Amino acid sequence: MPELWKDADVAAGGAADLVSAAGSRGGCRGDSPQAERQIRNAVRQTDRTVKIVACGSVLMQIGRAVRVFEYRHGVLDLGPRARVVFAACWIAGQCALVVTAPLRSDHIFGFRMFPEASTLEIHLSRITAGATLPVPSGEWSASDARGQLRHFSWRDRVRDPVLAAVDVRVFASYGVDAQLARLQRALDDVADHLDGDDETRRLRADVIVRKNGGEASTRVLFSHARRGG
Amino acid sequence: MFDTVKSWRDEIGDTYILGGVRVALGVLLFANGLRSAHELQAGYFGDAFHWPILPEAFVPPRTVYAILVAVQVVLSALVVAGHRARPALMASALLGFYVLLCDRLQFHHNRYALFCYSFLLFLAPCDRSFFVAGTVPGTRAGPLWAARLAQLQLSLIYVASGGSKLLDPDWRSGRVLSERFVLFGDHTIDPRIPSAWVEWATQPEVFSVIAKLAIATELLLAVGLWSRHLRVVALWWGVWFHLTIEATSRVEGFTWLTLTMYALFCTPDVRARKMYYDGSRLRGRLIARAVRALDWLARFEVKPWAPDAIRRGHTVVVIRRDGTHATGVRALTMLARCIPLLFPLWAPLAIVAGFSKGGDTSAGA
Repeated sequence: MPELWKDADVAAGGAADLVSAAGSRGGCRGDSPQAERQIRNAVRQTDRTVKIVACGSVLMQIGRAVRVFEYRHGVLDLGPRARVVFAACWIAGQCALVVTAPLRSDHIFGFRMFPEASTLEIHLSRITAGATLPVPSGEWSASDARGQLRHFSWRDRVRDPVLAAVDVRVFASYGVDAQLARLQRALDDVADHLDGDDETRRLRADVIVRKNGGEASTRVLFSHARRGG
Repeated sequence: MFDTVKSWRDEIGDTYILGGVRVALGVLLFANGLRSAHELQAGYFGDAFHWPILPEAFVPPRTVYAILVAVQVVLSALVVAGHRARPALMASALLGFYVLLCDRLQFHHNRYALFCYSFLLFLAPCDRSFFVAGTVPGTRAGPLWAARLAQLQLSLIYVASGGSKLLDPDWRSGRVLSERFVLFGDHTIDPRIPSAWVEWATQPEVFSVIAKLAIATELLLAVGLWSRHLRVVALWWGVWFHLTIEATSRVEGFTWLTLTMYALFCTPDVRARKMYYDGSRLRGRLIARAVRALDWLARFEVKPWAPDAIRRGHTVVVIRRDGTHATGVRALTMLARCIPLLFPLWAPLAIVAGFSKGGDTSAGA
């Protein structure tokens, strides 16, 4: 974890301990729900304040360092040789990103504007021990370890407008390849965050793809197997 | 080759326009910051499915991200105000790159291009004009190598975009454009347009021609913008190309970003042309006031005159760089050529001026 986050988290953790200790000393031991709530709110507030102060202080230090760097080393005005080196590196880097764009599933950094006019239609299902069950509109219910029925929604985790649209034909911005790569990641991500679903082993997506108005074809994607699944 | 590199590396010029470009980039960065803040209100991206390029440990927690968004907004305000504008541009660009690396779902070409241009402009002396705070610079002249690099970045974007379309058979044949029309056309076509026109315009052959025209436009703009003779035509064609895209597609701020970068292709000097107006006429005074307000690139020195043999009978006379005079529709053409808001009208006016008699007078006349 980067130092910046670590400092903020450690400071917040310390503050939480202090608040908790103060609560105990004041006779508020957290026996009643109201007292517990008060302590929790205080901890949350302190946590937030300390994180903001810690980050503000780090940003101020960065600003000061930039100022010193700027004036002592003249970093904003490169010398003749540095200009050539920088420009060569920049152009080479940009060209490399453009040329290698096809190697990245979503072609990012490639400046491929309006690459396709394709659509997709995602149909979700979940694979359990005994069957493959449809997940209409991305909503389903499943039992947890204690047998209690719980409700799950694809959109609890997936908020991207293209991927969140289940059972609906949508425009595949940045192309089919990009959206299928994102969908694969989304399936894995949702499978990793199904706490309380003791039935689902894997998620499955049947995607009806129409590339540039061509014939519809179906692509099937699976999430990785869930832990313990 | 070595001489070309050397002249690029050592070029010095007036940096007035760089200040204007900086302000426009600041506004776009501000809009980008506000969009991020708006999206944050709807939900922090790290709490849901996201796809970082960096290791997950480097993705900021919600509080830190909220601070970064606030910092982005503050930095963009500094860029616009011109106070510590160059470090603010650099920090804005680096923060922008960082956020893109934290979630590639948030990647859009226009955002990436905005941060690239911001990063390049921070290396140019763009803080010597258009500022409301900070110290007054001793001179406005400065090195232009970084501005030229930003221009090259624009050309590279055109080559990448046009080249990828050229290599794609579906694009070349017009199939992509045709299908985009099928998908989005219903929302964009004015119902008052006769259906026969729409039917004609939506034939596959028409889309094929439009697709080839779009590809040729992008590839030719990449080159034409650098040609002294073709530049003004390329800029005019490019302006309409991007305005058409803006009218028919959702591209966030890409249109305004590209049009902003077009300003870098202007000759780096100020008030090299003169506009004289008849101060005794209301029309002359109104035109002068409008030109002063809209001449963002400081192309004209605007002055009233005492009418002489040439200027008598004219409300406005424009004196070009080469000292020749222009009146009437030719003067209007010159104004349209140099004033950004009128620039889309330049080519039709130039054609009309080409057929008109008179309006041109030599400097010695």
